[in-house]
Amino acid sequence: CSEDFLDRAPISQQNSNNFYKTAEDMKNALTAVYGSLQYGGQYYSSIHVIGDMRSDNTEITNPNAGADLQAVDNFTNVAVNSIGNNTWNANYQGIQAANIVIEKIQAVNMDQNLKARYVGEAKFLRALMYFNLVRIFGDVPLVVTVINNPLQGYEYGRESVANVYSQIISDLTEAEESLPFTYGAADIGRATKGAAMALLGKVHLTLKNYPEAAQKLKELIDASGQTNYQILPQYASIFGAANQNNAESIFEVQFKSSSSGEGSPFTNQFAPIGSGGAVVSVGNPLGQNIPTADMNNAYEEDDLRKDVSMRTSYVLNGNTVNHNYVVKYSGTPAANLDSDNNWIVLRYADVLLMYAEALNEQGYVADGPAFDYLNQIRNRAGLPSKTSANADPNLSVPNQAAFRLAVEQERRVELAFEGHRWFDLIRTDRALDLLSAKGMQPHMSIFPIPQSQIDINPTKISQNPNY
Amino acid sequence: TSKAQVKSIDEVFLKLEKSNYTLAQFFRETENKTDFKFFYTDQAIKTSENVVLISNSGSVEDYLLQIAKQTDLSFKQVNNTISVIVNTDKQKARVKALEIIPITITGTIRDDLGDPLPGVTVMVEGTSIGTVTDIDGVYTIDANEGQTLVFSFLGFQKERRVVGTASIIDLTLRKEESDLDEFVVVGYGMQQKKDITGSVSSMGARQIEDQPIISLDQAMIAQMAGVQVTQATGAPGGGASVRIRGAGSLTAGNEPLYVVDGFPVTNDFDQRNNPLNTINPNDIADIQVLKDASATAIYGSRGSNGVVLITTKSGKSGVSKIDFSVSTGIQQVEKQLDVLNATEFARYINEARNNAWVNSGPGRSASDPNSARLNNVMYLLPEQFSNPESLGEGTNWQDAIFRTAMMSNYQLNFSGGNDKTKYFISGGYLDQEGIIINSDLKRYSFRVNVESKMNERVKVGANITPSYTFSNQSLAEGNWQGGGIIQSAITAGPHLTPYDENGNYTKITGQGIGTSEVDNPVKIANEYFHQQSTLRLLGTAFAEINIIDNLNFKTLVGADMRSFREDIFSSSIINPNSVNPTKPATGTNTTSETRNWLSEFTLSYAKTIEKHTFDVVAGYTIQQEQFDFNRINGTNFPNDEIKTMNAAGLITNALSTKEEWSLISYLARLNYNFDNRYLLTATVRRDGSSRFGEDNRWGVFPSVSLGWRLSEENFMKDVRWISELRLRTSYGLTGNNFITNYGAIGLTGPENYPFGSGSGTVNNGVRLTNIPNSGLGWERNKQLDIGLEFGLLDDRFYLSFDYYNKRTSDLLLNVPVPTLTGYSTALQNIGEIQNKGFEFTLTSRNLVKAFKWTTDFNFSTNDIKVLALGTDGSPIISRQATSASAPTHITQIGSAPGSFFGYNVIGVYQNQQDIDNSAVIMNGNGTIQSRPGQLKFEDVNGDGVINAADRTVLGSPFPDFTYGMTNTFAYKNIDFSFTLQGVQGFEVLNAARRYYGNYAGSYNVLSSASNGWKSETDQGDGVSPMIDRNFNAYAGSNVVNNITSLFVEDGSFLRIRNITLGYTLPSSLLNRLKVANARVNFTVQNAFTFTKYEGFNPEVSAQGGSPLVPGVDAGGYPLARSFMFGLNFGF
Repeated sequence: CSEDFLDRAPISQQNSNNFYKTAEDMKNALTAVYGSLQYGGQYYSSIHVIGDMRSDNTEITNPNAGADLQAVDNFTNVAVNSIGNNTWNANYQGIQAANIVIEKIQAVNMDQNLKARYVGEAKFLRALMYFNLVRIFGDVPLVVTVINNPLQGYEYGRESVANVYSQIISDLTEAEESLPFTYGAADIGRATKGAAMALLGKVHLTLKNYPEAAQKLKELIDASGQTNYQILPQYASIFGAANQNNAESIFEVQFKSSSSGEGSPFTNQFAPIGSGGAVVSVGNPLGQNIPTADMNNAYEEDDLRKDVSMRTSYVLNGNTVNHNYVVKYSGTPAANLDSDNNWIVLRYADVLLMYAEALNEQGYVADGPAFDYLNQIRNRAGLPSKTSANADPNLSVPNQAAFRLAVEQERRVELAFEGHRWFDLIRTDRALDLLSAKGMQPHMSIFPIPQSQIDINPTKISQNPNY
Repeated sequence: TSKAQVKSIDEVFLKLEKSNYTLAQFFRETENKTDFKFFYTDQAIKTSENVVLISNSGSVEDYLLQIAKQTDLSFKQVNNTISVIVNTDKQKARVKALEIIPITITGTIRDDLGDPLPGVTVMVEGTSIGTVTDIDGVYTIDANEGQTLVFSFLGFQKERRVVGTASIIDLTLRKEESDLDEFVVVGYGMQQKKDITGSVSSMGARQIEDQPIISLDQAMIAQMAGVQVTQATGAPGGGASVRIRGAGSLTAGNEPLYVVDGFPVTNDFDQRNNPLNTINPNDIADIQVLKDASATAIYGSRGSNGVVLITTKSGKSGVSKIDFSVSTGIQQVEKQLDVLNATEFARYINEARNNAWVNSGPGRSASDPNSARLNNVMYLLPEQFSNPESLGEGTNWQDAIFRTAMMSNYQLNFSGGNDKTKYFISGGYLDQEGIIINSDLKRYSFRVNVESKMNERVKVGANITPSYTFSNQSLAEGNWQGGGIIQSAITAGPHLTPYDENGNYTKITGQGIGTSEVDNPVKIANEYFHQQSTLRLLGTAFAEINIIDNLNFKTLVGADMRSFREDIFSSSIINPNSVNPTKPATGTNTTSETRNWLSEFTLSYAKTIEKHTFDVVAGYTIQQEQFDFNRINGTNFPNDEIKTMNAAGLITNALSTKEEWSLISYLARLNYNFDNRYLLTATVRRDGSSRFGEDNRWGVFPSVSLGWRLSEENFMKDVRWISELRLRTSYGLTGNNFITNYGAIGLTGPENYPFGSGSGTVNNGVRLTNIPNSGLGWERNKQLDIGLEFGLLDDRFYLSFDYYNKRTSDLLLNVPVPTLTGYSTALQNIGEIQNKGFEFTLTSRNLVKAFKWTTDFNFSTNDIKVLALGTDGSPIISRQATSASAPTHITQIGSAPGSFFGYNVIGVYQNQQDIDNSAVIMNGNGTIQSRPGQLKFEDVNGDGVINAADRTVLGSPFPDFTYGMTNTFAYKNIDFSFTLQGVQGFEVLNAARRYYGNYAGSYNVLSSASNGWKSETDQGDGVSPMIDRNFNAYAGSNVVNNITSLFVEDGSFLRIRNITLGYTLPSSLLNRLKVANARVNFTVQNAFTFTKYEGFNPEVSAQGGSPLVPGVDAGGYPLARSFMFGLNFGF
């Protein structure tokens, strides 16, 4: 009785003890896991800073931008860096939210299918976050249970990359089993079976498990009857607020303007500094993710994708200003940093190119299926097919090594400014070749562990080599 | 007379039950059946055998004669006493009746004032012969020559007189000043002062009554060692911060626990809405401050900051009284700051612009006319200041906002009772105007204390205290940008006036001369609307049942209900920091209701077995509180007329929350006393609190203390001049639970996300906003106390000395945690603070004859140091809200918590060579920015460059020592007393100097800050830098936005806190006036403060003195000096 008297649950706020009791509670908790994708340390900022700006695709030209952003761009980032810090923190924040769903839902009396689906969604999201963490930091602490006490936080050290990946694969495998290929209109944006398969394919590809990668990606391609995924006829119709969650899209981070805190920042972030209202009519241009001259040159002549992806000049007060900038996320924000544009994490073109890559890695087959998938993407862009022996040396892919480069090139332009390039170059061990000119050294394929996390638990958390 | 009542032993006959008795049996039976009492020693009758009486009826004398024959005993009757004497030399036994009654003594007993004292007991020492004085103080008694008369009366010193030949003995009894035998309230019981082994300070009603104060915390100023009371605000109803033996906590509060008539009152203490101000100090009988663990551990998890026990007045049996008192008077601001007048201000503004112009580039001269200068207000000499002398004195804005304010306090008490029932009923009305215009407080307070014996075994009682407090608050404190009236009045241009010729407020912003947009302080004071009201009902009821002898059961139930309402309206015409005359009006309405319930059950047992005296108490208490809170913010009011929220066109925020907490406790105490020499007190309390984590919900708080009354030892008995010598020591554990109600629980918050076709629909997401901490517990305070009590010459001089060492560990801190938990910080028990010091109290009755002089002196030191912090020990750097952007305080291991933090000024750069040889400020590309005339900072790390790494500790807000002294003089009917309050060795961060001492010529400033460096040969006052309107002249670490040592001042002060002159009307006059007693008095409060501090009041603490950012003066409400005249009648 005295214990009851002392049990004073918050009246005006729900809490960890009395929440997580019903299916509705769990739905809300799961929504919060998705919500963490919008954090600055996840898809709001970190992914494009790391995925594109650190690579040769884009750079930061805003002289007033934070030194931390510039450091990531030019390989001078150290252990004290807000991008690294935010990325670490935001992903673990999301992982903790996912762990809560996965653990607390077990005791909830609810529809078993729905329960399995919620767990599948949470595991997909947890896998996605660990995939980003492990690719950025290498060995990372592997937390898969709910932390109930601050002291528990000190028990975790860094887990080997291999162990983290086996958790990712296990999570994705379970997610694949329990998720549907499609949702009703109200649930569009949730993780699907296709998303789990695509991500699993990408994980295997990253691990150089080519047969498994190829098999999983092929399964996904073969399931097109159920998934309805397709390569849209027009590249332009993949992007923009009006084309969200289209048939080519597999998983997108959802944003919505004019709804207090759910809008996306990209339209403002990617507009050139000093462009006034010429590029983005509402809010401030922030000059991030500015395509490099090298990126500009990477597009083949007549590539229909270039104009959809980037521009090289804008007109301000009647004067033409020559300046590259990304237009994949253009539009009119409701307010500064408040756009409708989603961030595409996985799309079908990526799947086809990954499949082509996986096939090629298992063995070069002149003008085999790998060529078909590669050319499917090229043809949509208005470009001629590449073949094993083409009169035009630019279109000739005579061997396995050449095919690798062809895929690399195609991925660069097809998936430009979608946060892939850095991870692609790391996966294919090409980063140092291309980026040492920019300052990259061998140890920089992974980021330094945030100093704050080492300081707080030095016995368990160590720094990456050479940082 | 007594003589007539005494019968001789041969006149008294009795019939015995039997004929065979032991002597003891016989004596007992005789005593039972007659008025005689036998006086004998055990030794005398032990040697005797049974006696056989021949007959069982006869006179007492007959029996005694028979006994004398059978034994070695003789008997002698003196009055009703029969002395039994052993015949040492085998002489013949004697039985003698009524040997001698030679003298009948009579006399009159009076008190110090010469009034007769009825009811004084007069005894013949060594006998049971006695009488009492009659209504005229007259007694008559018979005694032998050589016997001693003892005169005693409760509350007066005992007197002895040896009977000689005189038959008249008149006497004046002196008031009992030693209170060692007095019972005082301790937690859950009473104890005699001489038996207390803990460290307790106390003060009585006498020390409260003559002070014109409105709440009891203010009454405690300078009264008790180890109790530092800081009255940081003079706002009507404003409270004071009370620190008992330093400050042990960083986040969980340092205010003591207040217990009013057994009810632990929980409060959110701050200086603007002080809940203690609802308790009428005139109703208080005494205050006990429990300081060491022995005394406080009985309050367990709430005891670590000390406990203040407040006992209210009660009636006395047999005396029905009506007391009426009124005091009324005026208050004025204690001090005004010395700022520039209009002429000086104009010169200062011109100098700032001339220097800015000269410093702006080569070849520029102060004599250049405006036409030759760049068109910038930093350089242009304002037109209206071209002839400074013509401006004269101008406006003293301080005169404009301060006033002579009235204060009146009325109190009517009814008290009385009989042997069954006692009552005390009071009504009080306080009406205080504030010394800043448009601020005031009214309090209506009532009290009913009753207590009744229902029968021999059951006593019941109740204390009920309704009160209503209403105040108009002023926007006194804070920066001028937010409309802070004090800062605005200091910094407003003296060449401007409050009202224009039409009587409208002058718009003093938008002058266009490069001065800051300080708004008209008179307008703010008059037009800012801020009302607070509190309706409170605090009541307790108890029943005490005497189950068997010495065993008592007591139950007490209580409730504290508070209903609070606050309305704030910031009129559209109040618009500081803007050139615009108006802004949209904003309003806030806050209401809250607090309901606190207490039930308490205690069982106590007391027993003396030979030399062993002990009492035990065991108890169970439960307490809970519910708190409802509503707040509405709104704007878009159609005009400034209707100030309530219904008129707001737009509600910008609305909040409605509920909270609650509960506490269950088990407690026990043992007091043991052997032969009045060896004392032991052991207490334990077990608390269960809803605030803490479920794995750490229960805590046990034990303490033990030992005392040794050396003065009771045989070897000390002969040392007559030592009346009391007692050593005591204690050690124990207490806790602090003042954290948020739900700090241990993981709370949820929104984390939404859009799903769905098209642009989607926002779905509600819910995430955990903090990491639960099931192990979260109270802060632990371990305290050692060693004390000495020393009374000389019948306690005419009484010293008390204490050493204490308090270590507070497991501090409740929000500290960083590994973020892999999903959170960056968590509330944890980490960190340790030590407070240690000495306390010394002296009460000295210097003169005790017709002219009386008593001195009460107390002195305390406290040394505070942080011993551990967080997981990695990194310092906590904090910013007090009124600071621009720079941090103001640092809490680091090895220093006092909340030490001031910034740049240490070591001088002014005199010339280029000085710069070349000194550490300098550089800008980003390495160019040296330091210039002659600018402040030179200490290069703490010695790297030749002044930057953020050179910030250092600039001072501590904690004093080295505090002291208080009260001297009381009395001669016949006149009494006079004065109280001094001293606080020494602490610093104040005078943050408002950022404005009124900033050398930039954008505000009016203190005169002391206006004489800046001009050249190497004319260095001004030698400490101030060059005055320069161009802020950029202070690049890098400029003096405006950074905290420097120039802002940190010595706050040490000595204050004449209270002077009281009283006259008690003589009884001759009283009889004619038909009143029982009457007194008039005149009191001056805060008569004078001796200090070097330049602000209004060195006792400062903006933001209620939060432990991480204490000691900041942001222009608080100054203290008032009050002159009060009081009248007091009893009927």
